Amino acid sequence: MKSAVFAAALAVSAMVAGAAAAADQAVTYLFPAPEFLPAFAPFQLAQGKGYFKDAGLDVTFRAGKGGADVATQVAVGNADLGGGMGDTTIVVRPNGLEVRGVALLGGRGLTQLAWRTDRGIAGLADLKGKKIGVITYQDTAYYNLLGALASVGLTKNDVNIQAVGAGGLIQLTASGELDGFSGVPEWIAAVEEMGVDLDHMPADKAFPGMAQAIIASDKTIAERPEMVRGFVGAVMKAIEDIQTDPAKAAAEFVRFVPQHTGKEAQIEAIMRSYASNVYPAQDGVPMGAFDPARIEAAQKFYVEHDIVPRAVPVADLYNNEFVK
Amino acid sequence: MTEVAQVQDSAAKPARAKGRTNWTISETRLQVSVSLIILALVLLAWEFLPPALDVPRYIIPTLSQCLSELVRMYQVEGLIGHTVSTAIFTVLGFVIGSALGAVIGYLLGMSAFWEKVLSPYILALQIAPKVAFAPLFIMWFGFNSAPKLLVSVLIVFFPVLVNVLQAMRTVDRDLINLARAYSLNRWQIFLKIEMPSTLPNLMAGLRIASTLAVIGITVGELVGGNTGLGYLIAYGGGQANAAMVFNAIFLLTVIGYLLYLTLERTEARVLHYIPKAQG
Repeated sequence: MKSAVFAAALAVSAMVAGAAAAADQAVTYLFPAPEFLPAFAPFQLAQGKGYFKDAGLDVTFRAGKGGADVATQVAVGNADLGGGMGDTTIVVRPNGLEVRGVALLGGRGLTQLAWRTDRGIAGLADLKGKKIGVITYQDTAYYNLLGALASVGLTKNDVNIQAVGAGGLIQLTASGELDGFSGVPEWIAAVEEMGVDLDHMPADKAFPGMAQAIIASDKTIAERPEMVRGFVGAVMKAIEDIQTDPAKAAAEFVRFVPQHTGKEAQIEAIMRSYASNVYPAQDGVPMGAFDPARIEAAQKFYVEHDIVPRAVPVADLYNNEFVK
Repeated sequence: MTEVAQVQDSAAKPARAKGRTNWTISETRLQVSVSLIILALVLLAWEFLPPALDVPRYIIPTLSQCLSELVRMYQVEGLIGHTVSTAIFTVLGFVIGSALGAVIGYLLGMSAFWEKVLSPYILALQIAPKVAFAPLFIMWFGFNSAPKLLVSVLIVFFPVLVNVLQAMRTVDRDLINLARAYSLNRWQIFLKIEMPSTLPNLMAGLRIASTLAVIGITVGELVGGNTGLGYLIAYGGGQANAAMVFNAIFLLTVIGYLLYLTLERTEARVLHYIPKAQG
């Protein structure tokens, strides 16, 4: 009798231990802006459709204050992974933050420069003296704006750049207090929905800016490569879904992010825009991978125009192992 | 001890007032030397300890990293402009806030009725965290200098008001009665009795307010705006450029210190007639 009880207890212990071992790995992902933005649809789809769970990950989303802030939090260990742009590590690595991009979510730059059509702005050079909004000074879109300004010989002293938050960007551009902004494509649609005409251009037409990127610290890459691989794989799968059927992806996105209920048509338009203008990989570069030549060109641009203090080895800025 | 010996002894050791407030030249030199040695040790530790302990530069940059960043900030980031902007608005916030605090303090001090009526509201506003108003002011007044100036004025206002009000309450009533006996009118009583009596408290309030003025402007610049040392803290912090943050904090300290020093010198001149405590 006693041996039967002992055997049963042993079996139960083994089951509990096995269950614990099989439990999903907890992961914190830090977004650079509010997590309901359509720019983060791949992550919301991966979460809602169970792709993270399939990879054995229990993912929690948090919102940071811009890509550079996210990179800092990831570097110091406050988040396991974070979101920025391909350029983000160029900005922060020179200051000793040991982070790098592990997946690039598209072959085109993400940042759009938009301005009101009633402000006499025909191109970047006309931004001189204008009030341009960014969400924060810690956001990579701010650095993309500086890069775009530098391409026409302007600096941040020539333009009145204000950090107004995501909501402020839309409201103040619509009300006319801002002449334009630097941000993600969906904000253009949000402002135009309020009856304001905007002109816009992708920032990467002016300089080699990059798309959204997943960022990890060197320490996390060394200690938890399977977690990184699983996370990246889940997000890339969600991007494929968006490219394959933007309408279906939009409907699913609205279901997972109820803030957008009632705006299905607008979300679908945004998904189609991302599918055709942002997500397609650069020629000759696999989906999700970084192009070292492009990173080098972007870094050279930033350093030459004193936007970042110094260059670091390009190989330290990215890792393509997880998109193979 | 003979009288000659006493005279010789006094010549050898300069006379000292009661207590230890009159330092000899050699003691002063020793104080300065020890102070400089401590400074040198701190600077050496700052330069060599972080790399020795493997502390990354985005946590604690070394002294030389801060200095080279300071040069870069001067060359590229418009450091002078940002510093001057913060300094000007700090002084403005201090002057406006102090003037308002003093005037309202004196007015309330002259009217017991209005003091009683307004005290609860003054207390409530004093307790409310003024720096939390910064985002509100930005929404109300836009992304310009007004929000940070308002925060600074509010922060400076209350210590001055409270000090002046307290001093007005404790003016010697006998002196006022004496003034009335000499047929001085209300304005003359204020000018000749109340105001001079409250000057030490006013100066004390101004010294407290001078350090707070810098805080108000910094908070305003941190929350909104694209000018000033507070902006540089936000900008530098955003890219983990701790050296930029350190430098901005150092310059803010210099601004606050200079303002405090100015007030200290002013107080010494204005209140020269008040004997200093011995011992």
